[in-house]
Amino acid sequence: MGLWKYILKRLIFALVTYFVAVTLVFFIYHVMQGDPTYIYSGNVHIDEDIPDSTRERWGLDEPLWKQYFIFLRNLLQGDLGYSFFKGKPVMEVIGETLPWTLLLLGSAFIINGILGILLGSLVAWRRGSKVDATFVLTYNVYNAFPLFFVGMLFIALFGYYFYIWDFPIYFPLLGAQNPLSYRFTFIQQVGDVLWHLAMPLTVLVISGVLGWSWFMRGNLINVKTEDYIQTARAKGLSENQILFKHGFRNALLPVITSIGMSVGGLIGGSVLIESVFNYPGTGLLLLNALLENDYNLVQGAFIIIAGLTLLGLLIAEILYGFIDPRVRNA
Amino acid sequence: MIKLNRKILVSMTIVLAFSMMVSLVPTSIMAQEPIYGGTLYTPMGSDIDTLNLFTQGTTYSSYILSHIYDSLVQYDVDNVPQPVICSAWEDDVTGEIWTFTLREGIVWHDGTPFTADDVMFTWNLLLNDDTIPRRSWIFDWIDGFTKIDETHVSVDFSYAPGFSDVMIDFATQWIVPEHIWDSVDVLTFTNDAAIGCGPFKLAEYEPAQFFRFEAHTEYHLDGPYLAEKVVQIVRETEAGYYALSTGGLDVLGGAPPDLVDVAMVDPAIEKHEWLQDYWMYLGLNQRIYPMNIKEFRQAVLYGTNRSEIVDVARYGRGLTCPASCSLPYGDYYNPDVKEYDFNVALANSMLDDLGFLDSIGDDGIREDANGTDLAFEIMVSAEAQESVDTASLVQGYMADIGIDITIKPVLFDVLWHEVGGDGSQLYDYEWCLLGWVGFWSDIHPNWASWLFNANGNWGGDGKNIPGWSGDPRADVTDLCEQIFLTNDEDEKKDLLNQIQVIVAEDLPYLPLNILGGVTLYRVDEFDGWVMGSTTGPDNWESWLNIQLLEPESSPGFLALGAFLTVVVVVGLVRKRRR
Repeated sequence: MGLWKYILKRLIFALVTYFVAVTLVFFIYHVMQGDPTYIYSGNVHIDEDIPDSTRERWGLDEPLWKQYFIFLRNLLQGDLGYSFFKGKPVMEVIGETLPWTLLLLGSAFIINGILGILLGSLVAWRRGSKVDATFVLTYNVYNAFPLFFVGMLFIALFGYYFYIWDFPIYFPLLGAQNPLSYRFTFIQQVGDVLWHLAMPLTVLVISGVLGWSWFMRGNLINVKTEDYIQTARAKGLSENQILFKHGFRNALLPVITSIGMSVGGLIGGSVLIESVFNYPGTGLLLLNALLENDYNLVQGAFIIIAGLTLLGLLIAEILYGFIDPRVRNA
Repeated sequence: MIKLNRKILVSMTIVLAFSMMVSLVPTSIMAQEPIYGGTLYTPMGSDIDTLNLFTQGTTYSSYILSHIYDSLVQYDVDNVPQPVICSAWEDDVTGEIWTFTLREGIVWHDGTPFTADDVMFTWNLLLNDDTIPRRSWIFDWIDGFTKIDETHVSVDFSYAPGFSDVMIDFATQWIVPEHIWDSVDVLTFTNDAAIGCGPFKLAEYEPAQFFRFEAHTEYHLDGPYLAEKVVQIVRETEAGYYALSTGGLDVLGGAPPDLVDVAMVDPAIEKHEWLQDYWMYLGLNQRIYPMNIKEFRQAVLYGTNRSEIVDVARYGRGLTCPASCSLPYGDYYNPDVKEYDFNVALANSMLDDLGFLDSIGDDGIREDANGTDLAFEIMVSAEAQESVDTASLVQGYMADIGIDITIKPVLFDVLWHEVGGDGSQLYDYEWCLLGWVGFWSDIHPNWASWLFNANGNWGGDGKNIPGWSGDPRADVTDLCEQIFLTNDEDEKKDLLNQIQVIVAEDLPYLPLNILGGVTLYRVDEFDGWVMGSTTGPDNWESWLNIQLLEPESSPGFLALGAFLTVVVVVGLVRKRRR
């Protein structure tokens, strides 16, 4: 199969997956109990007809199939609808939080990728050494703690106890910037944002680096047993040449796919991290929208998250097909 | 000439240095003048939905908007109405026309003068559009408004409303500026740059992070003395506690008991305990036998150790709730109603008398007249651990009186739907554990009508969660209607007393506990916190009242500069003399 045909096939497959995922989200969320007007229905002091008139105004009194087709029609026109509660276009609401998520996740993604692959290669190549043993131990111990707990631990230690113990530095506990940063110079404002980013990013990076290193380590250990590595060694190539020219590149292939798939997981993890650190990202927005039954906002956030995940996967698969032509015919 | 100049120079320098040093002395030592300045940091558990005060639906939005907007009347921490935009009110002989005198000199945050037209605009907006979500029920009972002159406006009700109806449901409506709202679609306007005439101007809003307010320097009442107020969004109480301890917050509510204990070690932190208008109840579905038997419900309540529920499931916060479903304070509370002190023997005896005995097998579970085990399912919100804990305690109490309870935790939305709270009319439950919030039984005589009146919303056949029926319900409905028709406060109280007696006897709901709150607040920077038995320290009155304990210290270099100036000048003079 040619490269273009392969890309087209993967693209069609991604679009079908996307359509199914979006449809599932729409129906599952709409048939669940509760609707957005619940926030008005419990108040004894407001007009008792308000939930009904609000439901009518928001089009929620229409049959579900009709709501679905309206949703699809709008989606095809690039319109994600209005957030019921924010009273703004969903894109605008998400646009307020997406930069913070991209800053946090983008930084984590890049650092995870580079450090994870390098560290995985190092410990695989020195399998059985003290470095490897330390890595395996650290990975297992760290995985035993939920991300949420690690976040709280960081806040307690680096934000609270460092302050209590009069350490020269301690980290901010809340948000992504100082509320009084309007008094700062531009450089100070940038520094303030980075200072607030430090703790959540570190928690995400430690978790991500260990995971990707573990994956890379496993791949490289397998590759090390391949005949062509033995051949290379018999040919008298140096260990570095064997590692980078033969082992590293082959072990990297599954990692590329994994990187694409990890986008979704990273966003999922960001919900927890953003919640713990009060970081104003899209994950947190999605959580609040879910609790308030803000259907359009949930769908909008999901469409973007699912889109990013599928895009990551698609790019990974195309890259894979490009690097390893055998995959195109699989 | 030189001598004169030197003298002047020295004198001026000393005066200057002295004044610079004096500026560092706490003003409180010098005089009892208000101390202006400072930034107050308060937390909020989640972000707002919108700044549109007509469509907002969460307590978070209300809290933020209450900084920005004012109403004619504001209830203080003792639940007494205080004039804010108005300076006085009066009703005519019929009780149907109420006239408000507006204060003069009120200014909107954008500098535009406040006028009676703004009041008329806001009222007419609510009167003419019954789809506005935050529209009070009382606007259905208003014929119109009249602007008498620039400082007097009146309301023409279609009945003679009670004082509380007017004050709580009408006069506490926020007033909006006509020059902003007359050109927008009220239902879709986002109001991002909210302009009000309240004590604080919205200066900055970072979604999901914080709100920053600046004091409205032309505010029409005394205060605020603060320069700024920051509302920080804090989802995790532990993170909030750390922020409080490190000075990043000045107030924190909802801290668990262990953190409160730890906080109390810090002399800079104090706590205030208060009661919420929020009571939990057991709902026994009276559409199902034997929950429709009054004595059965009474036996269940006698067999429930409600004090222990407060102590264990609620960490000792709050009170047991009177069986009358009323808060145990306020003008409308009747303390002389039937009480249900924990009494297992009496509960067992009542069940015996009903013929519910453990006659089949010896499993410790009673059977009803049909030979069916008294085994029921309690539906409870899985999202509230305290409620699940309460259900577990109830399960234990019921086991002691021969009733088998299974706990069914579900999502709140599911629970609300199954019990018919959303108007589904499913009533697919046996027992449920739920709470009622915001009926204001301590201040509003209509509370019983909102809850029990068969012609109303929650007591009507469309909802009526517990399925209350029979003569007591009809009697209470009749009494509720009478409350609505009378304007005599004593008569209202008498009618409410009767309702509470009937309710405590017949038990449409089995009230368990009233929730209590604990708020931690710092006392090392600000003074003048205002609190009440039902209000924590972070409230409108506090915002107007609190002041820095000491003026914000001028930068240290000023003091150093003053000192160095004196040293240098004196040195120069002495050198010249030599």
